[in-house]
Amino acid sequence: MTEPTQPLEVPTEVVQTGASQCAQAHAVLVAFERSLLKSQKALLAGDVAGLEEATAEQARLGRWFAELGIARLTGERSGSGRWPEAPPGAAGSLREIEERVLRLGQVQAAILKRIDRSTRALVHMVTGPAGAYDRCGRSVDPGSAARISEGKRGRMWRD
Amino acid sequence: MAGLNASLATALSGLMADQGAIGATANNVSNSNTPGYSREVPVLVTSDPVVVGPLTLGTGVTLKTIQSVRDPILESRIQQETQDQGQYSAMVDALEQLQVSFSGNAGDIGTAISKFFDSVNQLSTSPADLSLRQNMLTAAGNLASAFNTTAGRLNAQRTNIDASVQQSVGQINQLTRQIAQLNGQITNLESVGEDAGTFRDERTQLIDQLSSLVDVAVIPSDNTLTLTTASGTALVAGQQSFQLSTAPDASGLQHIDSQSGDITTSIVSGQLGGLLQIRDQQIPGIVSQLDTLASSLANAVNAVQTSGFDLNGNATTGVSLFTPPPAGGTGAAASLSVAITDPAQIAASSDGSAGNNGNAEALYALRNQSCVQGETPSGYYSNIVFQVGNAASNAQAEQSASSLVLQQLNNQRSSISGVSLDEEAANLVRYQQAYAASAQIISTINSMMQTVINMKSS
Repeated sequence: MTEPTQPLEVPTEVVQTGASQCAQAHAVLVAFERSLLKSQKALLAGDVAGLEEATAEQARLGRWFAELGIARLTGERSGSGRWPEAPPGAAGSLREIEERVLRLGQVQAAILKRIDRSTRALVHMVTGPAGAYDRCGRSVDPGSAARISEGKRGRMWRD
Repeated sequence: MAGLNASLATALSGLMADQGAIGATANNVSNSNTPGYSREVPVLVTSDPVVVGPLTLGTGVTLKTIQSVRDPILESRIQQETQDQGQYSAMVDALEQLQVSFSGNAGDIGTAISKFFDSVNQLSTSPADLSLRQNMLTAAGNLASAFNTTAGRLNAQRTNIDASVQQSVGQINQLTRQIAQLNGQITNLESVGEDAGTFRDERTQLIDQLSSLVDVAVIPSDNTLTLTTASGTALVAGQQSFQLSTAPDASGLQHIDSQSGDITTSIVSGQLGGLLQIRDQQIPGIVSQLDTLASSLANAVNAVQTSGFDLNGNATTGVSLFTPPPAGGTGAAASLSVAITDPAQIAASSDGSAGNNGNAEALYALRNQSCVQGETPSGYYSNIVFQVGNAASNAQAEQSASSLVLQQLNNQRSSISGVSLDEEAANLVRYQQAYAASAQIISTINSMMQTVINMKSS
């Protein structure tokens, strides 16, 4: 079941009114952490709709990162070892949330890897080795799944 | 038409079947908190009918078997995930210990390199000062000691892991023996139509335990199963288990042998796979990089040292600061030491005069020179620290993912194979009502028989 959709809680007014880069980074990272937790829950529950929703949020946050130059900011931070413009207390808090986001991202990638593995095993069990050969032969055709689901046209293509 | 006796037999079959079903329910309820227990369901089938003239009459019900509820695909996924968890748990434990050696404490190599170059820098401000020379000699000794200590810790950890490998092999052998015995018991029971659900549950639990130790492939067949490692080495075939053994190689490290030979490199998962990965790949890789750092740094320092002049104006050709590292660098970190004891022998001067600091400055310049495989000594060391931290972080993420997925799969197994007390209570009422109805039929037939008997006697 998909949980009720919650708006992305990045305080856009903070982002838009020229708050410090540190405050912007904090807001985006907090939203990222929340979104990653949501997608992790959806992944484990097999909730595709919830996963898609969270992934869309993350894509939007990724764009914010690019637009706000936070990626560049984190790059600078890793070079100098500290966040520019960050007050002493805030730098530690940013570092903590950055590590949590990084860790959640790693865990999510690892869960995805496992789900992919079990899906492949299931496909192999259902279709036998022929399924795997089929995949290899048609791996360049990204629209195949859509065409198969189109019914008659899909069946013709499969024939 | 069926006679009263036939109806009595039919009602009796219902009584017996419901009795068996209540027995299965009672067993489920009793085992509701037993770890690994799979709930049992009675399989009721209609008894073979009897043809009497033009009529086909039912003869009641038969309790065919009591079946344990399992999902083999889910169990296979649990075993796979258990292997991953075993592997990454072993790796996280080992890598966390490794990180201690690179944690930026006062005695670590990075700090020692920094302090060494600081002491060289101080000496260059007053090259004739004996106390500063002594400081530099002490810093060089501390640097060598940091390399020795770190290499020693890594080797000690490798030895400890080696002991764990032996222990794991012992546990694997014990488990495969038990699984082979259970295979025999399951085959014996099921070949005569008996239910071996309890033994199957026990075997599943043992396979889960085995999966946490080594990568296992389960190949089920009628009434029994075969276990191999992922690379195909047989562990159990029916009632026979194949023991693994360990034997030390030339370096003293334990290798794992099966009937088909050395299988050490083919074990990639489970606790054993994780231990082997740390013992044979991670630690040797780090030691090799430390050797490169130690030998390159020692060679670079020695090259400058041997091209200058000591405090007495003597050329220091052949007077190295560090003992020359072994050719190829292997073992350099463990054996690095300071070659001179007299601080006056430090070549701070580049022209032989006591106040000249040309050579000391050349030594200090090494701090920022790419003298270790294209990197500065500190930069190269930072890369090693990064690699260790990265490996630990990746292993921790994998372990977390494994735990989450395993938890999810176990929840699924519980929902399929676990005992629901509500469901069992409902079943109990259902079977009880059927039992009461069958008893009522018997009572009715009894009274009908009494009527017949009374008719005959009157």
